[in-house]
Amino acid sequence: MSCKDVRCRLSEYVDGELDTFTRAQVLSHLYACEDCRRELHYLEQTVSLLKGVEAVSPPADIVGRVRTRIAGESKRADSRGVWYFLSTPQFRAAAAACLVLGICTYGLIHFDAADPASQADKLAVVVPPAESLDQAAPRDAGSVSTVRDGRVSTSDGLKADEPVRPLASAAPVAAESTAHTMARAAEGKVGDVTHVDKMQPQTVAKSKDRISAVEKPDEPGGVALANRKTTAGPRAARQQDTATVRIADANSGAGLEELAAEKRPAAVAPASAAAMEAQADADKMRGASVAGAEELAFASKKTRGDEPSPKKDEPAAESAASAKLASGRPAARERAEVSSVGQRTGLYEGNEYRELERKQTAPRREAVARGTSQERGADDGLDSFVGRHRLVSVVASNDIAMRGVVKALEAFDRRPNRDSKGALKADASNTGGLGSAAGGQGSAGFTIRIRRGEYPGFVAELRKVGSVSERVMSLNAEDEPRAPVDTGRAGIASSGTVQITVELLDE
Amino acid sequence: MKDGVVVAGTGAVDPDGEEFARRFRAGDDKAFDGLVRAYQSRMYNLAFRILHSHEDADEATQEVFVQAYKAIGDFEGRCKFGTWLYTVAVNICRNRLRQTKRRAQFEVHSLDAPSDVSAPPPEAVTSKQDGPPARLERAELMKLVEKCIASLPAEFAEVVVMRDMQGMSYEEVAVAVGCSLGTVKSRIARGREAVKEKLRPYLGSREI
Repeated sequence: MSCKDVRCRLSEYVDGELDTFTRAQVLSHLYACEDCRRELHYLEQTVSLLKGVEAVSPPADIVGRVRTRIAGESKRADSRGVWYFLSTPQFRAAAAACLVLGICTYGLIHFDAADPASQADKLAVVVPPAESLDQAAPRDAGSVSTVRDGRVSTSDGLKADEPVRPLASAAPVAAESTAHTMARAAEGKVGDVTHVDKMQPQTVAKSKDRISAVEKPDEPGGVALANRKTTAGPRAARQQDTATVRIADANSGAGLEELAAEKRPAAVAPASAAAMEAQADADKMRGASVAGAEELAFASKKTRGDEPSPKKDEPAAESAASAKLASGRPAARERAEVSSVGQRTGLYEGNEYRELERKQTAPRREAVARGTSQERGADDGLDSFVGRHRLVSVVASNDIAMRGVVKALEAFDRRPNRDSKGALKADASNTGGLGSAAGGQGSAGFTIRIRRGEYPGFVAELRKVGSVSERVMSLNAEDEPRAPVDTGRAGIASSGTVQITVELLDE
Repeated sequence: MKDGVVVAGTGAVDPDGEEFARRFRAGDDKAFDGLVRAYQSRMYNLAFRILHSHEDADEATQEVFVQAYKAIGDFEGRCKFGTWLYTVAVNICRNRLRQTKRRAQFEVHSLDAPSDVSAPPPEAVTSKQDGPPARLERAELMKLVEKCIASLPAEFAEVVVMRDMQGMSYEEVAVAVGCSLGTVKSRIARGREAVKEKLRPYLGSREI
């Protein structure tokens, strides 16, 4: 053992903490090394001095002062009471958690109430021609309320004066909406029949906010559908103190006219407001296109940027145009139909005001009505896609198919190898969800309506993922795309048949 | 000095203090007073050797007992109550020392104020007398030892005080400072070595 090793152990040696073997080694070294013996002696003297250090006297009455301090702290803790409780970390953590939860809940509720996209697809007013009333079976609606001669009857047995039962969050709006519908029926100017989808009360309420239309100026007496939109939301629906009405004279090309700007107080009775809107609907049934100035301006700015300036001082011309349309239009073209389940947005192309419509089937609508975020996500994706690519319409058999459509089309959209025209290219790998859209051994799918030649190669790509049938249609075709029959969505499987109908609008 | 229970600064953790602790844990509130009397001197001396201030040591001692009173429920009896109390004391002293150093960093020192540089070093104090250190009076030598202890870093001073001045075992010191036994042995050895080197001029063959 070296001197360094021994001196490292001298402290323990002094305290008798070394084990027997190490102690023997140290002793052996000390016996032979005088320097280490001297260091040991110095260390023993140092330890002796340290142990001899006199203790300092503590202050007197530490016991009493400690007692006083303990009593003071206890009293202070008691006097703090509620504030002390509020200042505890546990309470702060709980309060923070509650705050976050409350904000999230409010955000979800507010989102549901204010998001026009999530509400617009619950549109639910159908006004078919009188002669087609009997055929107006609820094609894709859950049930239909029929207003005839001021009486309301429903396909599922609701009584005439039974208001559509509102959801808790939309009760005032729903009540007003019901009153609105009843008032329109009572006016007797709505036409023979008004179908009111009773899917959800707030759906009916929102139907006042957005009604889309297609104007077909190239045909005499072409359909002029209403496009009226106010600021979405229950509040706007209740405080509709300005009614702006426009008429699009398709035949004369006079453009959109502002029929009237009628100021109404905010406190007007709902029935009164409804009666005024019923008048507007009556005009619509006569062939006039009733459109909200806000909507038209919004739509035209959004799509083209050069909005046709409304002429505010031509009421006579527009009245004449209305009369002309009302008198000369075939019954089928008088149909001012707004899908009960679709969302329509206006789009100007050249001189045409064309609608982009999305429809879905009843199961999907129910899913949307439940308001699942997944469905909203699908809606957003499809809306975004339709808006970007100017698809005319997409109709799916069920919600699974709709999600598949969204997923597939979004996959198309993300592909880097789009051609110069922005045409969509697809392959089987990026159409996940289409196979499962059919489900089981059944079949389901979607119908997509596009302009012929708009997306070269798109149909060929679609053939890779499903059974595609093409149909060339006139640009002015009035029948609406229908989804393939949903014959099996019992399970999620890829063995089902995906029916894809491509309707090519011949330009 | 005596505090009625144990001779402060010399004895190990005494059985009387453990008895008070047992009674206090059993719910005898008056036993707490005996507990304070049993340990006040040791707690005060430990705090004074670490904090180098009577006021701070007084505050720290009171805080040790107040904390012990409030946290007696946390004492699980795995070690002696005295050892647990030393743990509380070491933590409180370390915190106070940290606060003191932090305050000192922001203190504004006057250039006109007398500097510690002018103060004679411990060696000078001892060497001004009759030359040879061996003639140093024992009282002066003990003051020198105290200065040597005060000059030690806190982690060495606390273990030296607990071991050499208060007679705690290596194991008890290890529990009190929250270190391993090897670390405690090393710190004690290094602390003693530092004191020894400062006392070397006054150590010799003579008996101390």
